[in-house]
Amino acid sequence: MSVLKINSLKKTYDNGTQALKGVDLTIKTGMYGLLGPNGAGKSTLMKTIATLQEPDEGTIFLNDLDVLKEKHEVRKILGFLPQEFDVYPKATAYELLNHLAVLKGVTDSGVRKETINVLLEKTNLIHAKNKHLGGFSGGMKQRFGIAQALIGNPQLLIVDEPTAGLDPEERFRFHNILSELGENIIVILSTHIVEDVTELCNSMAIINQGQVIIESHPENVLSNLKGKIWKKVIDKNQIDEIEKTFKVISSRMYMGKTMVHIWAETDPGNDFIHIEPDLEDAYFYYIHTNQLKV
Amino acid sequence: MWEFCKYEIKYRLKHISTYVFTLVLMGLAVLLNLAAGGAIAGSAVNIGGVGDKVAINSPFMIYVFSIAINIFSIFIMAALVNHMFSKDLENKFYPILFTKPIKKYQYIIGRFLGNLIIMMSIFCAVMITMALSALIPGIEKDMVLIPKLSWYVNPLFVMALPNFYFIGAFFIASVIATKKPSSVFGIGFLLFAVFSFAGLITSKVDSKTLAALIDPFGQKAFELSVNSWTSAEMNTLQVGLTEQMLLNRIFWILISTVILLFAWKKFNFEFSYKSKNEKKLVDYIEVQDSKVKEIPIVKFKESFKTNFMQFLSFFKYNMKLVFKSPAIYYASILGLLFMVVAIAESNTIFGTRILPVTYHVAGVVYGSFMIFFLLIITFFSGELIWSSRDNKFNLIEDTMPFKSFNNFFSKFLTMAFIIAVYVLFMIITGVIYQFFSGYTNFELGVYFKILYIQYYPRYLMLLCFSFFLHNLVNHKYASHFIFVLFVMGKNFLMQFNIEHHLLIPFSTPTATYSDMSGFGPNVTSTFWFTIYWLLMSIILLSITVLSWKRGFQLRFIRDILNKLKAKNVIIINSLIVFVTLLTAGYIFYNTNIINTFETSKQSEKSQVSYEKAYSHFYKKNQPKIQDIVLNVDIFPEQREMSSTGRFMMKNIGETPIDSVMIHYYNETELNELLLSKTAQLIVDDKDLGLKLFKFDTPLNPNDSLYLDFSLTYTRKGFKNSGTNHEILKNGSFLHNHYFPSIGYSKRFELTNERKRKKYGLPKQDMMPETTDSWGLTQNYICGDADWVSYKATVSTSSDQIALSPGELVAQWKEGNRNYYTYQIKENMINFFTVLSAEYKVKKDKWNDIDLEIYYHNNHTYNLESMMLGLKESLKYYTREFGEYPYSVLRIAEFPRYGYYAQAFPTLIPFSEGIGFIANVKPNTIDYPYYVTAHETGHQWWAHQVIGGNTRGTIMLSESFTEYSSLMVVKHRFGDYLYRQQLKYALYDYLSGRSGESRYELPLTQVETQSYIYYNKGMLVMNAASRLLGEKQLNSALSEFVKLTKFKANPYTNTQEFMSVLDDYVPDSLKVKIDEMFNQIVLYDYNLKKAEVEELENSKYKIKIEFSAEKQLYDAKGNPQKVDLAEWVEIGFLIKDRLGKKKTDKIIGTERVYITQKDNIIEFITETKPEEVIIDPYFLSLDKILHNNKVSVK
Repeated sequence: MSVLKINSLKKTYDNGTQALKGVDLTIKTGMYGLLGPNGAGKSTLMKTIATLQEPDEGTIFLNDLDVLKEKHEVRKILGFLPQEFDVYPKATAYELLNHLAVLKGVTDSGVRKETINVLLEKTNLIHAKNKHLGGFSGGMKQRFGIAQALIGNPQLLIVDEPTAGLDPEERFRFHNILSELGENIIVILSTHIVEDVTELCNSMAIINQGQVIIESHPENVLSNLKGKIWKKVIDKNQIDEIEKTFKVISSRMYMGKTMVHIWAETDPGNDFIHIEPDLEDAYFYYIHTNQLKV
Repeated sequence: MWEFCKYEIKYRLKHISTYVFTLVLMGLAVLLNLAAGGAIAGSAVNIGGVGDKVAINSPFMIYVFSIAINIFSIFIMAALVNHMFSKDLENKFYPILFTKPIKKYQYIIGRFLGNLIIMMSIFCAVMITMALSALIPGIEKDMVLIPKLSWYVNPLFVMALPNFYFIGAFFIASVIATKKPSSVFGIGFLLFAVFSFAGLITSKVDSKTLAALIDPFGQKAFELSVNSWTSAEMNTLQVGLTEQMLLNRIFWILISTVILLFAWKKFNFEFSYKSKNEKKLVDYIEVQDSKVKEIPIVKFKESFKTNFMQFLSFFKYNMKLVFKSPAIYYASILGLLFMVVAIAESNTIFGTRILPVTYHVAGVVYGSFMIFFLLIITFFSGELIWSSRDNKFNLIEDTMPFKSFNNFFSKFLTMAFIIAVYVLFMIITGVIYQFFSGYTNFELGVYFKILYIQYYPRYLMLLCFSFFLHNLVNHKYASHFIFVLFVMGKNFLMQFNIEHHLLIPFSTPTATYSDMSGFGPNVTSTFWFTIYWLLMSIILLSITVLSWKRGFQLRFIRDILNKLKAKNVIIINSLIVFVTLLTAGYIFYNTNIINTFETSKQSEKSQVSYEKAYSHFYKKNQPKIQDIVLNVDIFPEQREMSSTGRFMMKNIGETPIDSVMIHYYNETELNELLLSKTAQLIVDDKDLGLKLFKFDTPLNPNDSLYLDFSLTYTRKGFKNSGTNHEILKNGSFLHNHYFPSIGYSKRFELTNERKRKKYGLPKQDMMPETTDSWGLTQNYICGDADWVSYKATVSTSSDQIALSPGELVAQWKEGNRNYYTYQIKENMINFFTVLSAEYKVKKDKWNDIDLEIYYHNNHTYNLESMMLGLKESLKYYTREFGEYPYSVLRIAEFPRYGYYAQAFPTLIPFSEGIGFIANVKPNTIDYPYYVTAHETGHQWWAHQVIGGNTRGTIMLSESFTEYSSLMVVKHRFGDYLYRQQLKYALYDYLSGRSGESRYELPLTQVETQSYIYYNKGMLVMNAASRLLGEKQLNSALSEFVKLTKFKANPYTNTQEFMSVLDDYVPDSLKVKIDEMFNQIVLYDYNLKKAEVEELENSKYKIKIEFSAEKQLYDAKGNPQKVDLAEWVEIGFLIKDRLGKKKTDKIIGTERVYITQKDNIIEFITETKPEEVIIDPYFLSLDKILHNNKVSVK
């Protein structure tokens, strides 16, 4: 059982943006979901854990390992899939994986070959093994990214928005790979897609504007909201009125009309129907309340 | 279309880079003006190779600056066009844009126009800056004219607009063809290469017109148009659309338009910027194996093997990156072309190539490839450093457990390796070239030493710098830009009086290789400075490693400090710094403590102080040397020398002498300097090497005394610059200045007029009037002696031969040294030398005269020619001018630290660089023969007849010698090469006078301008011999010899010669002869048409049409039209061959008398000529040569 402890991590960029305003997290072996809107500070946090960036303040420990100081040690057991990356267009998938495997310390050529082939199979890229990466589609490139992150069986796997460019089937396969891994190691999954977390994670945190809003198990998150979420289908022009009276946590189009979810301790009346909260409701709830506080 | 144009302009105006570019160019304009105007570093910088009299805002200089700025604009145009295409792409705007109903031409032309307007506006701003900056205080007032608006407007349309048009057209076409906006940088480089290429081929007279056409920027066309202009003309005449300019401009506008049309055709809106080979792959999911294997678990092992494999993987990756880039192949092909042309064309003399000896090939290959190396270094180090960062692959790569050093070092080593491969490529090219030229002495060791040991470290230094820069600046293009700026600006440091190699970044002295003396005496300093700058580069590398960007770290200094916390890092780095300091200290000890270090400013100052302190000695009566007895011992192994000697001196003036001024070489140690008459040492200036003695009792007229001296030259460590290249391990060649001389010498004075003014020195007159009676009391070569007797005993090591002027009267061995005594019993001017080398000797005889050529080992290529030159010139001169006074005549080779030959009585030192390795073909001027004939001529002109120290005097030695040797050449090689030689003389005269910094004088008044006494002298004397007849002129010369041979006090002058000549000139030619010798008159003949008609009697009627103009120039170069009354020679040519080369042959000449500008004249000839030429033998100095010949229609 490993533990990654993040303590009051702060980071302000040169342009004045406060990306992290004191983040505390404790992440244990298993799948850990990090939810938050774009610009919440997720990527900064991921890059910091992945040894690519230094915070202004705070500490990160993986068990006894000081992540911020002993980067080289961390890198030995790290797998990282960045949110946005590109590849050398003139290299083939095999060549580039081979290069990265050497860097990862897979020095035995037989083991390396096996590693690469297994990874290419797992990510369903074996047919494109000797093709130039320049011709890869977005999904293929993403799968390539996953493959490289798994080289050498890392103890700490960080995946930043991994399912963004994937079609549903690929996403499903990817979830399988991850959940398999999550049995033994720490997997941090940063995403703004709620289902990713719902489907995979046993712990999660919601992060917004550089702060952790809630850190818990998904069930706990939901139980707080149990019985307090209500929905109603309204006309589009009624939305302003509703927003004035109720605490709207989300509104979306529903069969040509607008469906709103609101939060209320007790039955708000007005034809609102009680519903079981899902993670999405929780997500919107916490993000909105957080914004209201600030 | 206008919408696009407007959009483009608006966009540009909003973009900060537009203003940055403008400011940079403005800065450049101001800098050029300041430098040329003398406001920087206290003295004017010569820009454009013109004389000091050309104003900085003269129409000429405005052109020169405009062209410089045009060439610099390649960068800016490249950025503009790059951006013009890539911005749509970056904004992901193009899918929207290209689906709109717009026409191709609107898009391309509109935007192009917009950028052209922007570029022209930038240039206008620069022109205005240029105009205004001439007013900056500090710029010398006499360097500034009151300008006319047209001076600035003209280059705007003649140079800038066509240039921007063609640059832009090429760039646009390249983006469309390659679909890569960044390809403009490659094309920009290519254009620059074409420009440099045009520069390479201009050394040959006949290629100048071609170069003028192919130089896309019009600089060579400009040069050719103005090559005969004097300073005064540069200050007043507007450079317009001359014929060459017009041709050049039309040619390039046409090419650009064709290219633009092609681009327009090829362009389509599906333009996706993606290269073709990136076809999308079909993605599919294979039926899954039910049991997917597990990913093997690998534990990272910290070991050397891991480290090494990581390094290797990076290295392989980088190599692929470089070798998959087409740029490297383009650069190689272009570089190859450059190298081959440069090997063939550089160091040609009179159009004759030199043999591809290894040092020549290696040196030229280095020089011509330098620019490619700079490109490769900055471009690829940028590519390697940014390859991961540019595509954000570093987010993956940088989280891998490798040491940053491995990554960094693999990139560095890749580059170092690629450069090494390139050097090998250069060597192979060189060897292949040598092989195909039939030269098989490959000397791979010399290649290796020159290119790998001497020059390769320089590339490494620049490479370190480039890495440092890319890491520090952290912006790819900005780093490239700074790198280029740095390399160009490095040499500019000299202008700020920074001359120490310790302070000029990456500057190492060059150890020039010579076949005779190997790498010569600079080896030590080259070695130490190379070590020093390599160490400095390693420091830069350390900083780079310590601050190497990984992930998103940007804190340069903090990173370094962080990493410096580690103990071993501190130890290693302090060790490097310590060793560097130690090296610097050792160098400083050598250059500044045991040797003296003097900047050029300091040496200027000591010139000034010499003149200020001692000029009252000028023209003061001093004893003259009568007899010279020397003992000189050369120690080649130690590169040292010691000497004793005795001068017998006499007061031959009319006044008693109370004090005597003695100069000695301040690099020697004067052990003894004794006068045989009691005198007090009143000045002892060791810095200048000057002693002033006051006699207790004056030295009366006709009294004599002895000067005994003993001196040694010892070598101490090494110097920053000015290493002694005269006393060498093999090939020592030392001059009079190692030995004492008497009296004040104007030769030590500062001559640059502007600098003199700055130091408050009076205007210097170079030479007294022709008839000046003081001037005629001394000859122009040495003021401290007339005709002396000379006896020198010279010794050297046992494997060498020592030489000095005179007949060999004794020779012996003593210990392990060779001794020789040479003697000239009487009538030698005080002008001698000592040479020593391991010589081979070729001997021959002409009549009773021993002919000997002392040459280096295998330099036998041109010995026959030189020997023949000796014989035939002795024969001609003896017959035409009088006896040769000695029984021996020697040629002795010396190393190529000087590129000349020189004549001493009986002895002609001859540089290995100019004759011994000439590659003479039947169709080229045999300059080993010609130079031999020239130097032999001096045995009459200078060593028998020498003029006084007055104006015109050098005509009597150099012009006569040029003429004499030309006659010998004519009789040996025939009409065609004779005319070629004259053509070179005319070109050199014209370019010489346009670079005149003082004033031009007529031939009989010439001071020290070589273009007058050599080139004009040859032309004028040749014309005289054609007009009067060779016999007639030679009779005059022979009479002149009889009259003035060994004459002194008074010496002869040009006036005396002209009066001798006068008797040989018929009245009809008196005016013309006077004009040639005593005035500056130039012509322009323009042959427009020649038509032929066959007559019934099988003869031919030729009708030609030509114009003529004649101008008289004053000393400042102001022309004045004068009336024509000329005999003009017309030549009829047929095509001919000499060896492989197409030549022509004159089948007849006619003389016609003309008095008006436009002339139509008819001739009847026996055979049909193919071409007609006007003035084929250059009887008139024609300003524009390329309009003198036409084909017959």
